[in-house]
Amino acid sequence: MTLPASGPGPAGVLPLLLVIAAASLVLLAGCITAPPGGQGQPAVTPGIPSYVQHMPGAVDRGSVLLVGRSSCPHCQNAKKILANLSVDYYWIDSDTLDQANSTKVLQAVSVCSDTNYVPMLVVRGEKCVIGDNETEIRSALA
Amino acid sequence: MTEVQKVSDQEIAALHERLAREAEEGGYHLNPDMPFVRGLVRGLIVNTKRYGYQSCPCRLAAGEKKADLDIICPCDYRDPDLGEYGACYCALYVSDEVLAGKRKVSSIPERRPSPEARIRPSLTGTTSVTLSLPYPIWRCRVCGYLCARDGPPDVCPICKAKKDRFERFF
Repeated sequence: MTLPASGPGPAGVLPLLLVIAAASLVLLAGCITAPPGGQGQPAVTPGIPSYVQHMPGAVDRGSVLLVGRSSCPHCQNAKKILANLSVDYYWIDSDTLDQANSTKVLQAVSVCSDTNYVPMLVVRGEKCVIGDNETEIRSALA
Repeated sequence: MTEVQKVSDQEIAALHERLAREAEEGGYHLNPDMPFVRGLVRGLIVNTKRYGYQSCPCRLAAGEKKADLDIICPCDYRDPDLGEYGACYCALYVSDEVLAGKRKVSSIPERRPSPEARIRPSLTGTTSVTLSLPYPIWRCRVCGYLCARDGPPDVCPICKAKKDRFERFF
């Protein structure tokens, strides 16, 4: 699934994705020291909301965001796929969000889909994959 | 951030047993993949503790029952997905074919309409057929069960969906 050309305006919708994209650029530029977590392990990254976990990986595909639930087996499978591909990505576990942040995330990802299905993968703010189909995930990351 | 809800193995086993029994009684089947299903059942319990209702473990809940009514498990989309893909979206429920190993579950596309389209017009008064019935007809939005009585039953006898999942059909 590719993001629709039109949709809700940027105000209140894209800031989360933009923050993530900006943080990725900063990391690339070496302005922030390497996160303490190992590959596939969550790490705290300055400048990123606390509910967004950085999952360090050796493969950089730009800003990659996975929104899901810790209690959803499909989401855990999507995480495994990304880990197997060694992709550097960000993870939002909606099970741990309070109401305000949950609303913020729902608004941000509505640019992909407003049906609220998870896992929801957003690649470089351009492509979106709903579900844990490995072929579709690989294609979006290409 | 909110605290992650703690769920015990006993809670998971108890709900799993109930869901499996109710499913078979109504002609449905739970996914035979036990570890996978236990993960989903855990998600249902987490959501029940958090929201007060068991919204789908594979969808982001709005946290407001009225907005999430269609994704309370069993969801409004289970039966069409079972018929078309052999499983519901989260694959908690599977069809006879999948249970028998004759069909594999693959990725299921989104079926839930956009928020605007989810607001259904009341069926009352929309039909061109004029009926004079001694009782109103109530329809379960989950499984389609119909009954003629003053009000909907507390629990659907087929799929066990609760009273608030019924709509007035005639």
